[in-house]
Amino acid sequence: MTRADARFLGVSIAAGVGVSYLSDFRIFLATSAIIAATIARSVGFLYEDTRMVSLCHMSFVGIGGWTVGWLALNSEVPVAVALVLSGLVAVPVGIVVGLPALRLRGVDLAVVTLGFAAAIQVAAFNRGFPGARSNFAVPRPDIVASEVRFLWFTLLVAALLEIGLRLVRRRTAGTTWALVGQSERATAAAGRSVVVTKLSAFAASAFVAGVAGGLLALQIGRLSARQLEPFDSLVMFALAVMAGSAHALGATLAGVLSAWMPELLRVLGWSQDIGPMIFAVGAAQVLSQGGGGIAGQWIALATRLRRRTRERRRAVGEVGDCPPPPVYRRTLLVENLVVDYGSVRAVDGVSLRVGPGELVGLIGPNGAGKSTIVDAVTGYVPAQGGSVSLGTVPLASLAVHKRTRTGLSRTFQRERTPTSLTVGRFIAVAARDRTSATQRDWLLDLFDLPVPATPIERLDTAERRRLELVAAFCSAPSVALIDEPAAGLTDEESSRLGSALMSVAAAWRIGIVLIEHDLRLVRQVCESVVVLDQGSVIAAGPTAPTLADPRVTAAYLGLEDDEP
Amino acid sequence: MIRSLAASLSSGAAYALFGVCIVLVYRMTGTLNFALTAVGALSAFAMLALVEGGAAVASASVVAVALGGAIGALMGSVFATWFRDSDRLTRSTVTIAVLLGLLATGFRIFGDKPRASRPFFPGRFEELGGVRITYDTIMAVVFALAITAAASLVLHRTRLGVRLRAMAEDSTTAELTGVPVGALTVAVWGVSGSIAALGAILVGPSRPAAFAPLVFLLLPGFAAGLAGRFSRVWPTSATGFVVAFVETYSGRFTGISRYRGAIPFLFILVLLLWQRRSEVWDDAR
Repeated sequence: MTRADARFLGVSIAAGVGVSYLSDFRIFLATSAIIAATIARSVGFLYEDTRMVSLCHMSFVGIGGWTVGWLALNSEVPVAVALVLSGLVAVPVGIVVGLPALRLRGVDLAVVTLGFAAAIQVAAFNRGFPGARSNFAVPRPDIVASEVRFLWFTLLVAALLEIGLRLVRRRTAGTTWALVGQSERATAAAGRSVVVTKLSAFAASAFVAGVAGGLLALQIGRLSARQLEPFDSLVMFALAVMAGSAHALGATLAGVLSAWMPELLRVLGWSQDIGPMIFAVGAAQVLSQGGGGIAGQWIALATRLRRRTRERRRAVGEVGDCPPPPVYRRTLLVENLVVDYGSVRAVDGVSLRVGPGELVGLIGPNGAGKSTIVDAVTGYVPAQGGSVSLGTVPLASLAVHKRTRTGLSRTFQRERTPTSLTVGRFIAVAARDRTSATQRDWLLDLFDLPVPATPIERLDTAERRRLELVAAFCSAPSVALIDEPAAGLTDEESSRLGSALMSVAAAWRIGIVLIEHDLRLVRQVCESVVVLDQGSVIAAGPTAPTLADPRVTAAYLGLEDDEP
Repeated sequence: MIRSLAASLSSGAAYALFGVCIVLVYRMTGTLNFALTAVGALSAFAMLALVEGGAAVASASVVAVALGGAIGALMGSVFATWFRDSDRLTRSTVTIAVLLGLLATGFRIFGDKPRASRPFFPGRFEELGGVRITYDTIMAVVFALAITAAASLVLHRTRLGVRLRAMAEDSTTAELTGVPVGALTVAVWGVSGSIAALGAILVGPSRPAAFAPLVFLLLPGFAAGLAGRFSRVWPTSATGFVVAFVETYSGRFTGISRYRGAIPFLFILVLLLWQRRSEVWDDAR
């Protein structure tokens, strides 16, 4: 348990004690607030972490409530078991709803979930919850019968869910959620399945909402369809976005607003319709600020106020040796690769061989097809011809994340590090436990990066790009394909980067394909180069003689006169 | 079957119009507009209120279409001002917030009781193969087809269409080449608001008009838009009619009719499963 967890529990208990002295009605409202906060949390982490928009979370709440009601009517299971079941029943429903949306961006999921919310409303909820005809109400066990006891019970369940969610998010599975929200390409490049990652996040979110629904059924006896309309899911979504429910603080704020806004409006004598209007305007306002919600803005402010200096471990140059991790040491073999974009042939019969520890430069003018080769080798675009294999493993039929797991890493031209993570957590996603902490720290030193606990948002762009390199190497690949790592660097920085790359290749026997316009770096680092022009190889071989080849100067340097 | 087809035509026209609006706004501004039908519903209810106050149906409709255009243009200027540089997801999320706001506004002004709708041509119909088709239905279908055709022509055959498509590809680059991006954004939103209002008014006579159900005609609109992959108007428009027909036809079977409300959702599911069967990656490398 971290200090933040302890603080969360402390505040929860203190709030519980404080509320216990209020009137029964206020305690009832506080219980409602906790339940609403739990729902907001489930919507909020989904939106903020994974960028998935769910407009059907009140339907999951309904499914949870339905389950608890049905169990109370038809069985004798204890309340705790019923609550767990209420979450578990929501999970497969969530998976079925999420499945068709998995290849899509977040907003398509919004369409599906809105449709689902409307469909389940007419197909199930409107026909009455279990026991509706006989006016049956879900009984509460004696031990939590009174309002104050039920408050504590709700607080306990909500705290357990929160702690559970925090545990998952701290583990690699949860960290991957933040990565998938930032970039699906980067997630697959880290060797993680995009489908599994998104589904697990959606299922976890449905579980939390389902349990909240079970609590709601226990609190009020029986749910009614009128509380669970698609409109209510919209309200919950807007509220979660506005408050910033990726944080427990924001979720709590959302819960309090949800429970007390109707009371406040009643006291003021205003119409109840004004509540959702306020949430709608608030959500739009928050979104125009770049998201994060009210809580996110508070937390960012607090972090700025007590900004710690970044620790660097040692200066570059003093980095010692490091025992290599179990590298696969397979040879990348690309033969006659052909890639078409429609009628345009982007890559035309390119062959490439990269053995363990070899440094191969892939150069050529803009549009020569360099990055397309990387995309085709790593599986982002389909190849129309040729073969790609790593050691004895043919890669053609493998998905991106499976190629990564075979021992192929890559980085991107545009950095895609998720700013919500720390350096160490980001590396852990890509590393898949293949490297030790010592080895990770060695790489961090080598590439002049701060300690693992540093939040990525405090890194500048050049550092983030080096961080991507470190993450790629931490998966101890056979071959790493590096796309323009020196873009925008000064000569000195570029030279330091070159030394670091050579150290990794030599010490860990990782083969490196370096795509680069900075020919000084290519000369410094690469033993051999492959020169491309308009999708074809025009020259290949040892670096110095190949770069001196007149065909290369004509095709490559002719376009960029300022190159040395 | 023929009877169901005839009965589904005016709903189909509305779904087609909503679908075309969704496609237009998505293609032009990269925003999936969740608030579309809410704009339409507000306008349609304003028309009903005007008619109750004694206005003629036709003139009240013109006012309502103008109102839809005004609300749309207002949204457009909000997007052009504050959300120009936001990504697609954020912009679409904002329209979800707008949908919520408009729903609440609608409940506030009009309540959630159904209202009697006003046909344009009370009691006028044609007999076609033993099936009655009202003049209202004919008018709805004509409008739907005309607007689909107009949208298709503007997009693919005019200079304005080229500018709009350029803006959709990359608004900054388009602006640098002299495309008035801000004004065009407002115009696209305004036009889509007007069409949404028209769709909501035309669907009115065929069903009891309550505010929330009218807004949730968004879902068949989305189903239609999905069928056109949010980029082509004719498949979108055609699917609008198909969804409406399936809905109406299924109403004849007692076992299924209870689940009629789930039909747009099923359409969306099937279309998504079919269209996205191969892998798609997010933005460029």
